[in-house]
This record gives sequence, structure tokens and C-alpha cells, in this order.
Amino acid sequence: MLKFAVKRVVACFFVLIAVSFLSFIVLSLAPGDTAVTILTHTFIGFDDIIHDADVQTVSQLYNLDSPLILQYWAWLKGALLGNWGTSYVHNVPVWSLILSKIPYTLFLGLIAFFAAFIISVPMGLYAAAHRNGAFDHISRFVTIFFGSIPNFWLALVLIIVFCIKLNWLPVTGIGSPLNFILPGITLMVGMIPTTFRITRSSMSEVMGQDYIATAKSKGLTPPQIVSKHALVNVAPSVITMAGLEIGHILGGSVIVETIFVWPGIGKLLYDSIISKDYPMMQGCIVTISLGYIIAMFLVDVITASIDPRIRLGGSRN
Amino acid sequence: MTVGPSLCTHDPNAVKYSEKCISPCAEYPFGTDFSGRCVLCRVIYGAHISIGVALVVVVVGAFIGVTVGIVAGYAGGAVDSILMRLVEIMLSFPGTIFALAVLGTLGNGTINQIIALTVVRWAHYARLARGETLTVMNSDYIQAAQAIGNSRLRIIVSYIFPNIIGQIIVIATLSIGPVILAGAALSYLGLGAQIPSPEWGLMINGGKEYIRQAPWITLAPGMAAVLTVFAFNLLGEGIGDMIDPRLKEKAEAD
Amino acid sequence: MDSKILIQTDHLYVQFAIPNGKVCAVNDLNLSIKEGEVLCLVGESGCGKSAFGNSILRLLPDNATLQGHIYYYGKDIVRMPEKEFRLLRGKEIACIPQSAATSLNPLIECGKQVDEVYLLHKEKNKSAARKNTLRLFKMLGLPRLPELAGDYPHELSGGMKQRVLVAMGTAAEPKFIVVDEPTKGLDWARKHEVIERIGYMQSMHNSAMLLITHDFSVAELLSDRIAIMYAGEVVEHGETKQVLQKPQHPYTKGIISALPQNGFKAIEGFSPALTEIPSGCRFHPRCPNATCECTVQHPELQKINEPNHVSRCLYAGV
Repeated sequence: MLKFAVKRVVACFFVLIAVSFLSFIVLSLAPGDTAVTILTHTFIGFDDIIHDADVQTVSQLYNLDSPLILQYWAWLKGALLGNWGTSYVHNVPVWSLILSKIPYTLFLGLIAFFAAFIISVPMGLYAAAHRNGAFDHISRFVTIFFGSIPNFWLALVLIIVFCIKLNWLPVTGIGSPLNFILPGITLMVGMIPTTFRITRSSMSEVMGQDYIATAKSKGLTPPQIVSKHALVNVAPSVITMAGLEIGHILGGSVIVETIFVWPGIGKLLYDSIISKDYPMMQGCIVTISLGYIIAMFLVDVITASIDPRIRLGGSRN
Repeated sequence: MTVGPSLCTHDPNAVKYSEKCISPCAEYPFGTDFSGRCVLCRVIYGAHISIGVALVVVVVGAFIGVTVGIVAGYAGGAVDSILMRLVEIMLSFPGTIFALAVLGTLGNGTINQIIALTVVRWAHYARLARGETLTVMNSDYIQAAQAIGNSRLRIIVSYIFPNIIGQIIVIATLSIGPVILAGAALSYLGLGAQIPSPEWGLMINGGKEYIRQAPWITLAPGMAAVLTVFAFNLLGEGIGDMIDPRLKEKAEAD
Repeated sequence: MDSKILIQTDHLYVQFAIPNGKVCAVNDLNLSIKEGEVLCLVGESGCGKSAFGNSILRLLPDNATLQGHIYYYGKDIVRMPEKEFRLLRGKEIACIPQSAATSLNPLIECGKQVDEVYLLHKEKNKSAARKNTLRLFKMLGLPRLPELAGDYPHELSGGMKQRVLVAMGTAAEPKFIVVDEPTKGLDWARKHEVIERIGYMQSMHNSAMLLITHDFSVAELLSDRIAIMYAGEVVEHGETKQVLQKPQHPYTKGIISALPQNGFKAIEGFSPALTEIPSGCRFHPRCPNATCECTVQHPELQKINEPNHVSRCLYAGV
């Protein structure tokens, strides 16, 4: 088991490097002179005239004339040591700003994740057990409908209903303890359709297997069959999907945090895009991808601990 | 698509400040927005854009993805490894983030939006196509085809492709809905279509400031998006149920 | 007539609902099995033997309907409420399923899957259950004990998995076991091993068995009585030795001559689909001795001279 985990960690590390490289390349393709951007953000105002000498100075300062690969290499070396560059806009180290925002995104994301899980997994199990029944049809219909709602629009509708018309909840910021409710609900709704569907189809498939008939022939009661034999076989699919959904939550957080002015990584990324703060963009993208990679790593480890075929890889005979 | 324009009696881009923010009524079933434009007409024209963009993204993305997937699956070895590593890396980016990165650098506009969404999507199809190709490759009739002496291209075109096309169609149909939503999200953030395009995400963004006095500006395009995506999702589910109920599990895993 | 009758079916019909109507997989079955007796049910794929086996265990799919009665020690188990019947399953009426590869839960250790039966029906003592499991594994000749009990199904070979299923079925020492195709997919050496072990377990616990197979060698080695099924009906039934030495029904004669050791003489034609049953005698299209009467009159089971030997043929005993 340990060997498996270690192999996965090494693989994840390389993926992270590749992701940061890809991100760096993509960002470097931005039109417009980076030196000019830095100048206008950091040193002078947007309306001031740009002198060539200043551009030169900035270029040298930030090493912008060397080939892309070397620039990336410099970033990578720095990044591995903890220096992710300095934000053009805020003039503080990138990592410190990111670190201060992570807890907010984590908090919101985890609440939404667990809430969605608690709602949709039991629904999916029940729907599978009573396939083609009323509950099954209704829940499928409802979840497909929920899955068709744009999350940013849902956020606005929730604001209209709960903040403007009913005046129950605050809209933005983190002032009161109630602030997490609307953004949490918005993120949660995004997760429910897929979670429900995967649970339902996985459970249906498992219940049709021969070993469930064997379990029944032993004299186990239906609850025993489900808890002892079915759930353990459903778990790998559901957990894998949960990992992928975390990716969606991380992506969705950009929009949700921006609308509700929730000070997390998502909002930080959005702000940095608008202000063309490239070091911050790179830092945010790598951080969010790291979160996703960690989630997939946990998924791999958990499914391997449940399913021996993954970690042992084949028969001994 | 052809029905739309005939329902519109107003020019979706005509600005008439004298008629701004009128509540829904007989003449303007969805009211007017802050520039006096008919919201219903803009929603209908927005449908063209949103659905059009989604179709282009799905078709182009599927084309690229399937090609890569079949090549990787058929060639095997080093080619397969390299291509699949690339696919894995692409999939390690949460989709929205990568689209944002691409748009952050390319700049705004509908064309760039299409590029960003396609770049994010193709990897899903590639992974599926490769998996299916491998399954087909393992079946006996492929070995028989090779034994007869078919050229590689022929095998791909005549044997592999027809067997995986069904699944690809289901997955592609199921992804139209999510792509419409992703496109609207990017426009909402101001990174896709630009003013004065009647793209839904953009309209919702525009209506944000008028939530209190004219909520219909935000509500109408949103409802349209929900219903359109809902329709496509149902269509995808229906096709999926017809072809093979097990496919959807794979689709959802993406 | 020392032993009591354990299982008795009375005009049993098993039907499956299909999109275009109904298919009758088991047609008017009347069989009985005594305590400790092994009845072998032989027939081709699709003749209804598995459907019958599943009906005794009440493991039929939702689209199946049962008509008639199945009596267990005189109690009708077809009409019994599920809660009551569940107390019998695994404990008194058990099964050894076919398809060892898919009948074991891939994510649970083999030993635990056998322990479960003991814990459910005997006593809730984990170490006693494991002791029992290992004892059974040893009797069945499984190697590498006790480590093997901690292995997962995919780590075992086909023959080993089959033996784990045998252990599972016999762990609670049931009175009656439905053994469904125990040698399917096994090579000759494994087949022999598994048959031997099943025979050993049967005599140890004196369980009655319904042995479902398409393999005559299995029938010869293990069963006291044999019933041949064709197109949903029993066409011949009697003591195994007698039926195999002196088959009366043309179908039985046909399949015995089709055996490799008898020359591989195949019967002409194919078994009918259960949706297109021939009129009259179901075997008449393929029977070398068919007459006009055979096409219209559906024969009942006729007694031949020897006791308990019956054959469904208008010309039985002639």
C-alpha cells in the first residue's frame, strides 16, 4: 500500500510541474509587453508616459529578455524554494497572499462538498433500489434540471430572493456567520446532479451482479446485502466522481467567490486576470491545480485501499 | 433556429433610452433592458450565439479528441504514452481555470471563447476515444482484419471508427449543455463575448446592477439558458438510453 | 421409504414476462427429493433447469411468475412470506452458484465471505466461524491455509473459487443444496477434483442435493436419481444407473449416444426456442421414431416396468 502511495505522490509531483509549465507558457503568450504592464501597475500610473529607458530597466529587473524556458526555469527554481514571485499589483510575495486566501476557499468548498454528498448519495442509492419507481423518475428529472442551471445565475437568483425580496441573508463579504450560506448553496447545487447520477447508476449495476444474488442466497436481509456487499462495490465509482467534482467546485469557486465577494483563491484569480497580474495568475492557477491534484491523489489512495485489484494488480496463481 | 427571428418584432440591438427598464407587458413580453432593448429578442438572438458556440466547440473538440484518441490507442507504445500524458495534464486543470488562463492571455471575444472552450474539452473526448479504441483493438475481428492484410488507415476508418462513433455521439450530445453553461460563465465574467452581443452570460452580467428595479433583465436570459440546457440534457439522456445505458456512467465520470 | 420427503413440487410452472408476452421456462414439473438424496437435473442450456433451481431458492428475477407449489417438509415455500422464507435460505436451503468468477464479491476476502454464513446461521463467534471456514477449506483441498482465507477472489484460480463457493454453500450444514453447474468452464482435472469434494461434503453432512448440470459424468458419479429436461419439461426420470444403462426416451438415448465415448453421434436439429414450442410431443421434430400421433398428442409421463422410472413418450416401454 505504501509503495502504491509513494508512486502516486511522485507521479502527482511531475504532473504539477507540467501543469505549472503549461500555465506559464499560456500566460506568456499574452499580447502586450510585460515590462509595460509591470511599469503601469507598479511604478507609474496608467496615464503617464512610458520611457524606453524605464522599460529597459524593468526588463532587466525582471529578466524579461531571456528565453521563455529560462524564465520558466527561474520561476520553477524559485517556486520550489517557496518564492513564487511578487504580485505586480499588490507588490507583495505571491505565496503570502495566496496562503491567506486558501482557508476561505477551503471552508466554503468543503461545506458545499459534504452537503452535496449527504444529500445526493442517499438519494442515488434509494433511486437505484427502487428503479423506475416514482422517486426514481422525479429525482432524475429534478437533478437534470438542477444541472442545467448556470451557477452564476443561480447565485443572482438566490440574491434576488433571499437578500432583496426577503431580506433574510446578507449578500457579500464575510461580515456575519450567515454569509457562507448562499455561496455554499450555489456551489452545492452544482455538485448534486452528477453525484446523484453516478451513485444511482453504479448502485444499479452493482445490484445486478451475481455476487449480490449469492449474498441473497445466504439468507442476508436486504439492508445487510446493501451494507455489507453492495456499498463497498459502489464506493470506488462514487469516490472517483467525488474527486472530479472537487475540480468543478474549485473552478466554480472563481465565479461564486467573485459574485459574493468571498475572499478566496477563486476571487484572487479573477482579480489577477482583470488586472493582468501575471505572477499572481500563475500562482493561483498552480495552487488550484495543486488542490485538484491532491484531491485526485486522495481518491486514488482511498479506492486502492478498498479495491485490492488496484493495489495488488492481479492474481498470484 | 429559423423560428427565432420571426418571433422578434424588435431589433435586438436598437437602443432606445426612452423605453428603458419597462416591465414585461404585451409589447415587450420580457420587458426592456437598461438601454431600451427588447429582452425577448435579445434572448432569442442570444440562443443563436450560445448554441452555435457550443456546437462548434463540441464538433471541433470531438474531432480533435477522437483523432488523438484513436491514434494513441491504435499506435500504442511511446506515442500512446506521450499523448496520454498530455491528455492527463490537460485534465488536471479544472476546466474553468484553464479557460480563464487562455482567455486571460488571448483576450476577449467570441472567437477566443470558442478556442478556450475547445482547448478545455478535447481531452475528454480523447480519453474516451482511446479507451474505446483499445477495447475494439482487443476484439478478435480486428486481428482477423489485420490478418487479411488491411492497411492501417483502412482498419481505423472501416473498423474502429464505426464502432466507437455511437458512444462519441452520446458523449458529445451530453456535453452540449455543459459547454453552453461554460460559455455563459465566461461571458458573465467578461471574458468571452463582448458588449453589445446578446449572449446570455453577458446579458446576465449587464442586468446585475439593475437587480432591484428590473430583475427581468437578469432572469429572462437565465431561464432561457436553463431551459435550453435542460432540453439538451434530456436529449442526451434519451439518446444515451437508446444506444447503451452504460455509456452515461463514463460520460459523467468526465 | 426410510427418509422423509424433503422437497416436492406439484404442478410447478415458471413463466417469464417478455416484451411480447410470456415464456414458460418450466412446464408442469412434478419432482420429489428425499432427505440425503441427490437428484441430478440434466439438460441443454435453456431447457429450464436453472430456472427451476432458482425457483426453489426464490431467486428468480422480478419478471418471473410461479404457479403451482413447492413443498419443503410439507410447507409451501412458493406462498411463504419473504421474511419467513429468508430464515430458511442459507441455513436449510442453500445453493452453490455457477460462474465462480462473478459469484464472489470481488472486494471482500474469501474467508470472510464463508465466515459470514456461519455467523449468520450458527453462532456470532468470529473465531469459531473462521475455524469452521478453514476446516471446510482443508476438506476441499485448498492450499496455502490459513493465508488463502485472506486472499481476494481475483487472486484465486477458477477451481479454487469454485471450492470456496462449495464451502460457502455447506458452511451452515443445510439440509438441501441446489448445486448449479459446478463444473462449468473447468478443465478435466479440476472437474474431477470438484466433483469428488462435493461428493465428500454431501456424504459428510448427508445433505440432499439438486445437482444441475449438462455433464453426464457428474451425474454418474454423484447422483442417486436423474431427471432429463427438454424444452421446459421432464422427459425421463428414474434411478441414475437405470436411466443411463437403459434409457427409454428418444432424447435421452440421443444425448447418451452423442457422448464422446459413444461415438459423438449428434441428434439432428436444434432445441426449440421457448417461444416456439412444437405441438404435441415437444421432441417430435427431432425424433427418429416420431409418428403422426406424436405431432398432435402431448404425452404424459408414462411408467416403465422398473419402479420409479418414467418417460414422456407415447411409445415408452415398447
